[in-house]
Amino acid sequence: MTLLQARPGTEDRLAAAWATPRGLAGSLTALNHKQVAQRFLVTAFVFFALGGIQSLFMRWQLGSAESTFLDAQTYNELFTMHGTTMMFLFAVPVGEAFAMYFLPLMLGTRDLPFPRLTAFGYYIYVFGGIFLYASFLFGEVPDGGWFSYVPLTGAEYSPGSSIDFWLLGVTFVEIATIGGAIELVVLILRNRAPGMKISRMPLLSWNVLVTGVSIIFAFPPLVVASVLLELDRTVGTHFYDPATGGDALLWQHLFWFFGHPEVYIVLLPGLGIVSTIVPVLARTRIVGYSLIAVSTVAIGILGFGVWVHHMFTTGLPQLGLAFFSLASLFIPIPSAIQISAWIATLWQGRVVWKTPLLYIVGFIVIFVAGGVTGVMVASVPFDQQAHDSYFVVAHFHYVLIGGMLFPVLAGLYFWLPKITGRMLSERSGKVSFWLTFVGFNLTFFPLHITGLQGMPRRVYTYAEGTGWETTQALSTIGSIVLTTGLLATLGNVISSVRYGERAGDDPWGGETLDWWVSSPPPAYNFRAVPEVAGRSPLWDTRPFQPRYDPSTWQQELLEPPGQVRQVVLTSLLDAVPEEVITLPKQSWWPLLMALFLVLALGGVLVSVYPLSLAGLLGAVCVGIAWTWSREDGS
Amino acid sequence: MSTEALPVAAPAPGSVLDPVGPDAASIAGLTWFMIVLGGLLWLATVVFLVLALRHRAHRAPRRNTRGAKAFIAVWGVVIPMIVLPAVFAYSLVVGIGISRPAPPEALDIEVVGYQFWWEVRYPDSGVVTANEVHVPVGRPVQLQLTSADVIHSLWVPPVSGKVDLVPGRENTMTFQVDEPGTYLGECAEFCGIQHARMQFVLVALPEEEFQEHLLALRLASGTPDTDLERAGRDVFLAASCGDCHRVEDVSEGGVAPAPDLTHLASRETIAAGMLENNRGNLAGWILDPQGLKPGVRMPPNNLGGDELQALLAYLESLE
Amino acid sequence: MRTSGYAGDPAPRPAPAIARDSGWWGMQLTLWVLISMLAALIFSYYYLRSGAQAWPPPPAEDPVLWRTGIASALLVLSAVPTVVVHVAARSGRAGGRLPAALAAALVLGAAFLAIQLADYPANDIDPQRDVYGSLVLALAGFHHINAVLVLIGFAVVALKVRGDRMRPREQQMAVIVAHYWYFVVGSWLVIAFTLYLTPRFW
Repeated sequence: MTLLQARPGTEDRLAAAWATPRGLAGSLTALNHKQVAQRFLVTAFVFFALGGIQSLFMRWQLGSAESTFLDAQTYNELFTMHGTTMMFLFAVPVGEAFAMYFLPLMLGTRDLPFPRLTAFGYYIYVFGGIFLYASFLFGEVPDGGWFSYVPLTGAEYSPGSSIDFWLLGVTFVEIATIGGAIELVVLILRNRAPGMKISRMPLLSWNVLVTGVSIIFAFPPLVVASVLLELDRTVGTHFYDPATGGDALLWQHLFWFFGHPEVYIVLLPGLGIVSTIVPVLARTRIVGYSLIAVSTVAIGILGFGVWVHHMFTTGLPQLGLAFFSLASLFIPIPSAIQISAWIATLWQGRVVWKTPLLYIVGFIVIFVAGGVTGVMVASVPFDQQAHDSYFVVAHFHYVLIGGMLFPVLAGLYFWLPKITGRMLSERSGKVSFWLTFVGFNLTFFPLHITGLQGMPRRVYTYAEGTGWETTQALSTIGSIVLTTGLLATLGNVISSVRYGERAGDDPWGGETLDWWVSSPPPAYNFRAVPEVAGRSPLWDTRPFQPRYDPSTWQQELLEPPGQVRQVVLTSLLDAVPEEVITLPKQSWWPLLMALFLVLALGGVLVSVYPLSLAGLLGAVCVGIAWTWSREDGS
Repeated sequence: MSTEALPVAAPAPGSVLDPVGPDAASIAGLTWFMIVLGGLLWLATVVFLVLALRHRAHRAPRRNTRGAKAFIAVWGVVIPMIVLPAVFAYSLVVGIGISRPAPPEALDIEVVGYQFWWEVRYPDSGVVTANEVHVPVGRPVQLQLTSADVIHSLWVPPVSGKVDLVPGRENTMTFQVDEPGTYLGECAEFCGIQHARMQFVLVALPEEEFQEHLLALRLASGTPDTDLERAGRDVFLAASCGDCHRVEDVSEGGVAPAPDLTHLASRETIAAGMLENNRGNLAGWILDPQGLKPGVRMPPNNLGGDELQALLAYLESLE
Repeated sequence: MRTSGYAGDPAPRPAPAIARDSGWWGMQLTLWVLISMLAALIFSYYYLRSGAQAWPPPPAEDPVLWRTGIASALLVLSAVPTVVVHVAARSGRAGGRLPAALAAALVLGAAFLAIQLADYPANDIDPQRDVYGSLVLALAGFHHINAVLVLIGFAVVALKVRGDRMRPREQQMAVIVAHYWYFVVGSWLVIAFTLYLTPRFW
């Protein structure tokens, strides 16, 4: 590895520039991607736990017929919060958080492109989540479902402020998600290590790139839909009111135009994690890199053409349904290509049986089953039977838990050692896998049958003698097993932080640059930024061949002109180093901006509009200060 | 008010795979086709996965990837390109079959969804009832569906797929029931607090019996015969029941939407499929609907014992 | 912003006055977010329009065109000083026409907003009365919020630039503001066509 050495003494300057400021103020103003992404990860898993607890309450209620454990109102609140939490507060943020932590490392750069946006995104995400959960304190818990269909969620049928909590909280989280997406797309396009052409970047970055672009196009319509609904509720406009010229289905179009790409937004980072881990644990390069990259892009594009398959029962014309059915039926092909590529890679290599691989095998088994039922519900006539029945509940838990949670758990076992420097226990990991895998299938497989037996979704109870008792009871037992498995992982994580074996830089024989730095990585990630000459930088025989004259950019990165944080920008396709830029070091503006926005939304919630105005004015002032100040320490 | 140990009112729900009409039967065929085909593909994928994991476990990694790429081409592209169009074609055929417009001899019924009950109208005979749909066996039926408040969805699994009831829109649903019987209908779109208890009964009768039933519904329930029933009618009016509930020639209803009670006594269930229609349940329901079905639109009624007995006698006379 | 040299070629290329750096890309993606929002709003308009019998729903009448015609002309005109700002930002030269261009863009933008804000009551737009009024509120509101934000951006650039050279960071800001204003002008043409012209022929 021909890399430049810094002159003695400059290393301290680099460390000082990237050190996190001390104290509470320091941590509130911290901007480094690893620090913020860690908070993101922990917060997302806290929300996951909350959503999980809600689901256990629901499972207990449904474990027997005519159960009085929960009343109707509580049950409706719980399934609303469960879906909202899992989709908005866990599944999307956790994928972004993974990417925010590991992509800069995998791409060979020191930070995300907009550090203050990173911090701002985190703050509005966590404030949005708190906002949503504050509804419990006021006894106004959202109860309109995660899909929040009008007119049920309009002012007439949901008069309190429960839906306002939902709309405002979710909109906050959407803004955070959009910000994160912009950040990650720019990271992938412009911050790759010199020499890492777009055709050489790790597959995870292809997945995150497509995810980011999908978020940029899919989330804004939901923001619009939510704002229109909030206007209907507070101002008295008529967008969704059929009696005065509005239309109830407008919400469904806008919601599902977001909602279906959302599924792929959740899924794609998970698939990227699989594409990263499979070659490492199969000890061979991935087979069909380009095919996987192309099919990832295809999934992203097709994901926008299928939203109406959530509306097959709303009475739309048959021809339109056929078109959307066709589009939905073609989406499995890119997924089939990826699955075949992973199987081919495993066949090609020599597998190392570690816990992450177990989770990935579990993922394939479950996800393919979810794909099969996905094809089934893409068929219009069958969907008209299965829609809003427990069959669909089973289907999307197979896709989302199988396709997203299992890869995330694989990623946790695989990458946590990089974050903490300690390995997770293999034995406990394998036990957790079997409990999770068996528990998952026991919970969700019977629900396919319950659905075909005619049980609709979102019912708080069911009568005796319906024939649903057995399968529902099995599901409840399964959910306890599943929880045990997840708790085993949690225990493993906690104990590993203290007692885990030291991981070293590269416990798995990794392929990508993240395994090149120490565990945990230094704040600046890379002292000298590596120059990449192939797809597998750590496996290539001549990994870092300097092609570009390093005397300018590399020297400057090594020996910054002061205590400043610098990264090199590279060109879009070929990653030719172009310029060295200086990033902000710490900032109060993200937190202040988020607080002012909370004030503005809080004003809407309690209908005190001067408060909203003050919040907006504050936010604008902070915005001006934000753009005015560089905060890079120079 | 306890809600435990209620008698089961409605029939057990039917299965999608146990059809009683041509629409559901053709969907059931499609379903079996997809389950078997999908199951085989899933199984094959798992077998390939296991083989891949066991293969080469003892050898050094291979360099030549030709075989692996051929596998991707076949299993990732060729097989799906064969299977998916087949599924699409079969679905299209079934879809066209079940969405054919109703023939002229079809029976027209209008269903309006309310939180949390169904109004059922037979426009040809002017009959209005609630939470019970009677249809003739072997004759196509066309439902005109709309909603008066939020979105609902009407689903009778063994009969056909579901169709939403959307306010401001009119959807149609055609089906035919070939086996006489009583089937559970459900609301399949979340419509508020008592979505779970928004059910109805679909009764398929042989044509003759169906006509008799319709005729009975068409006639007014007649004037009360006994003093007790007449007293009950007075209670019905005095307690403002008639403000919301219509009884032909007795009350207009309509202040707030509520089921037409003209032929209440002929129905099998009350409270939208939740309770068996008997004296005890009726009494409990009138006194404390909020205890039985929290969030339902009907207010509780404070009636003395005599008043209640009279009212029950009257309601039970509404055949 | 330090621009430190380029590598890879035998002779390092001189740095362009302003590169398409992270901020530029961030702005492009943000504009796509806004375009996606605009598309959702326009979709909502035509979707609701197609479901209505009379448009705008009575008693509302077709909106008067001349005020908006003038306002739109001013807005389109404001693209000219914006181009001047854009060109100046790319070259990095501050003096000369830049202050005047910034002032002109600000004045034209503000005039546009003033005319439009007077236009809605004059056209008897009432978001609470009918769905057409609701849609005007949503579409025009979306546009005007963006317009106000960019006008603030013009003001910030005007206040920041001192002397006759722009620093790279100011260059970037000016380019970003210019791009954003192009979106404001372009999106208004779509919105004005939708709100003001379509009721005349559909």
